[in-house]
Amino acid sequence: MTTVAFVPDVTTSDLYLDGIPHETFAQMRAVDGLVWHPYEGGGFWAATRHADVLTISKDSERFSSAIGHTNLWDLEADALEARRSLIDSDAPEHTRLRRVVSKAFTPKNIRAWEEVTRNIAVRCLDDFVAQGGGDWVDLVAAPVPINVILTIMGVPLEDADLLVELSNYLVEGTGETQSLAPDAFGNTTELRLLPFNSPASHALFEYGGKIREVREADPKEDLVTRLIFAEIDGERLTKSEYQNFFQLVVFAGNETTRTAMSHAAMALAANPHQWQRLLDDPSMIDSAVEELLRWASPVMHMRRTAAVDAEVAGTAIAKGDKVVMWYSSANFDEAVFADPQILDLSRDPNPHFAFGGGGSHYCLGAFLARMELKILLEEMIRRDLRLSVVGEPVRAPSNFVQGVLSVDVEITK
Amino acid sequence: MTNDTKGESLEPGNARVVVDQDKCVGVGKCEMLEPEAMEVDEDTAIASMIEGTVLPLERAQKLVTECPSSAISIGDIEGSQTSQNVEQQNAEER
Repeated sequence: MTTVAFVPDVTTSDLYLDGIPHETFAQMRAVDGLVWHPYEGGGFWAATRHADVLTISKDSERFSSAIGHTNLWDLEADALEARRSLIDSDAPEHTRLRRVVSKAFTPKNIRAWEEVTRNIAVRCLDDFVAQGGGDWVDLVAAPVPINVILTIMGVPLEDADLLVELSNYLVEGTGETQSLAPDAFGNTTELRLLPFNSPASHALFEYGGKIREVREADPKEDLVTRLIFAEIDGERLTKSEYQNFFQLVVFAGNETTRTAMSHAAMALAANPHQWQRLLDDPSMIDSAVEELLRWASPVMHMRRTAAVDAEVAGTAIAKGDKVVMWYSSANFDEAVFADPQILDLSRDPNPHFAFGGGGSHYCLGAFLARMELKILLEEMIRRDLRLSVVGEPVRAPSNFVQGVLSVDVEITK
Repeated sequence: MTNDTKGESLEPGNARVVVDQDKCVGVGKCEMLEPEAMEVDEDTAIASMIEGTVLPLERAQKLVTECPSSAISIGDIEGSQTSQNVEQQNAEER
């Protein structure tokens, strides 16, 4: 048995300012069993290998999402209850919540949004080209997904910038420092009761509440209307369930896809020969989308808590122990991906965990994100757009999402 | 794809799949892979195999491995000894 000769720390947010700490994760993957990772006076079991993440992710009976929290830190019972969403729940509660919205996100129904998405992508890329390049996040990666998700939700598009800004504050909440005062946006709620411990969650709750009032009086064929009126076993979502759901869809529907689109541009700029391959053979586009998702690994981890005594990879896990699945490591596991540090747009199969490791919590928006990324690439191919990055991208200090705040990109053709 | 334990003792042929209603969370991957055979119900958001359809065993097994929530299993394979599964299922549908 290889013993842990080092004390890993993959939780410091600043560590991610240069991207995923691949070397540390490689060391952790080489250790037999799961690695005990100290954290805030306690610790968690770190699952870094693809196979172990898969085992934990698929076993939602032994590894709970509802106990403790799905982020690294524990929440008190009242906070957990106030913040409970699809993500922090187990079956049958999870299944009940998920079925409220899952139909809107099936691949078949996502196809209905292709034209809307293409129009948005075309507008953003045309702007980017007309300006001769610029901040890819501001011009393309942020506006495309937020405008798509707001259209699906039925939320006014003029509020896109505000909702992107609020999402950025939420990401801050996963780091060590927040720039917002606790009473920002008129917040009076204790921060520990708010998702991401952020007053921006209060702002999103309030915003969602206003949209709710509008839709209650004037229902439409949109996702917000569905959230308000959907009945499961004869019951509608409670106010708290609605608020958390609204916030989750806004956040997850824009931040993660923005991250994927940011990394896509950076990866293609850094690997012009791969981009050329795709330009030469656009039929590679589906595998290209998957490889860029692997590369981006937008959400870097999720936590579970052992509901019973368990064992993974020979490591005994006691009931109540935290177990953290590091997708940002599993997606670069040399046991599964040949030359994982090489971007290969034709990689197939590509069993990456950009949408989680499988199981009932598989990303609700997976097919929406894939569709958006594919359309963006199609439109980039159509424009024969060749990019290069100027200077260094500004990354979000977060161990949770591999966010990019800005990246200056120029057109090299 | 041939290492499925259920597949080993059964001869290749057309198969039906069964969706565990408690496990299905309506991701819709099955519907995407096999639009002619699988559908997610508009109201319940639960997937099922369209009545009267079958799939080549290999494609049915792909559904089993691709389902993110592990809700799909092989129900019956034509020409095999497990046709009682389908009879049972048909009885339930009636």
